[in-house]
Amino acid sequence: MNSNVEDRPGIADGELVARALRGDQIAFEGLVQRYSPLVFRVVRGVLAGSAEVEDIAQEVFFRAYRSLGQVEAGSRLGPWLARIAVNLCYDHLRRLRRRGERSFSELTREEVGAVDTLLHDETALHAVERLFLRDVAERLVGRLAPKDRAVLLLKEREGMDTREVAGVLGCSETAVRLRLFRARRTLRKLLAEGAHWTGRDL
Amino acid sequence: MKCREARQAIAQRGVMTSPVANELSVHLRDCPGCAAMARSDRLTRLLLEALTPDEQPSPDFFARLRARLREVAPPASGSPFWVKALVPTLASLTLMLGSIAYLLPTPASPAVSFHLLHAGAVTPETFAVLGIPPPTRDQVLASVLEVEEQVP
Repeated sequence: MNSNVEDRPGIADGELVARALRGDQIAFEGLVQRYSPLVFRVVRGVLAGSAEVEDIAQEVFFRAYRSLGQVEAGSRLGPWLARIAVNLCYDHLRRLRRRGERSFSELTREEVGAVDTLLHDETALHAVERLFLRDVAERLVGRLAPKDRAVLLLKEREGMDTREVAGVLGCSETAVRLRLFRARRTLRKLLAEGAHWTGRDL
Repeated sequence: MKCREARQAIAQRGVMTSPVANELSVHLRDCPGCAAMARSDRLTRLLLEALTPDEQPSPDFFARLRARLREVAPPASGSPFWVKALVPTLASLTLMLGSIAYLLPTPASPAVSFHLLHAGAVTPETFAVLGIPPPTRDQVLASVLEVEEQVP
């Protein structure tokens, strides 16, 4: 937490936006403080693991600052920032693909063990090192198509409704429902494979 | 409780009434398919939480951002109201005219046909006159995903 940053929960987003538009950078930093957890979650989730999460999150807020005048009065900032974040993630993934980079998605024996822990003993979850578990999640969720990942994340983790997710991703609600169905089905299959590797049923 | 209701209740998780929760619990005990779905649904959420923990930016995040913002002009307020109103209107008009032009000479793509129908730009009778079958729901869904698959 940066003590120079003003985070005043009592002040509405609209007021902070209005102050930022009058040149008050501290007000904008208050918005950054308020929404950085959301932006980091979206970026990390859609990229499913990347060393550049913080750089992309920074770019999200930089672009948001420059476009702040386009924010409609009374509109929610979260979905607007999520839209900027998702689009920047897609750009990043396109660049990675052009460079021929691919994320490694096969699970190691230890990771299969972690999946097994997840599958059969949730109470043991705390015993699994957090970073290790995140690595497993990156590899499993990383198998999904980026757009399916984005839908799953916005719906399941961020709790957005179908209409909001469609707005963030610029697609129809039908497409959101289809992608969600496909993402869940793929993950179920992957988890069942994990169970198969460990010789136990899901 | 039938499987369909159970799966709806699983999808709504956390907002079900006590009797529904009890019925679901009984159903999950007797239905391995729904029980597996409930388990994988829960695990999906656990994986997403592990993947995206709540985190704060590193200490120099704000300093770097502040330095970048100093190099740009303060954000400008939005365009006047009439510009905001005019731009989407012109864009919609252009899109609609373009879509109709696209539709007329060749068999329409299901997505374009669907949107023209949905927007009231054409009626089902138009397809009959043009000798083009109206799109089926499956064609539309396949078309939507086909277009979106072009973006990573």
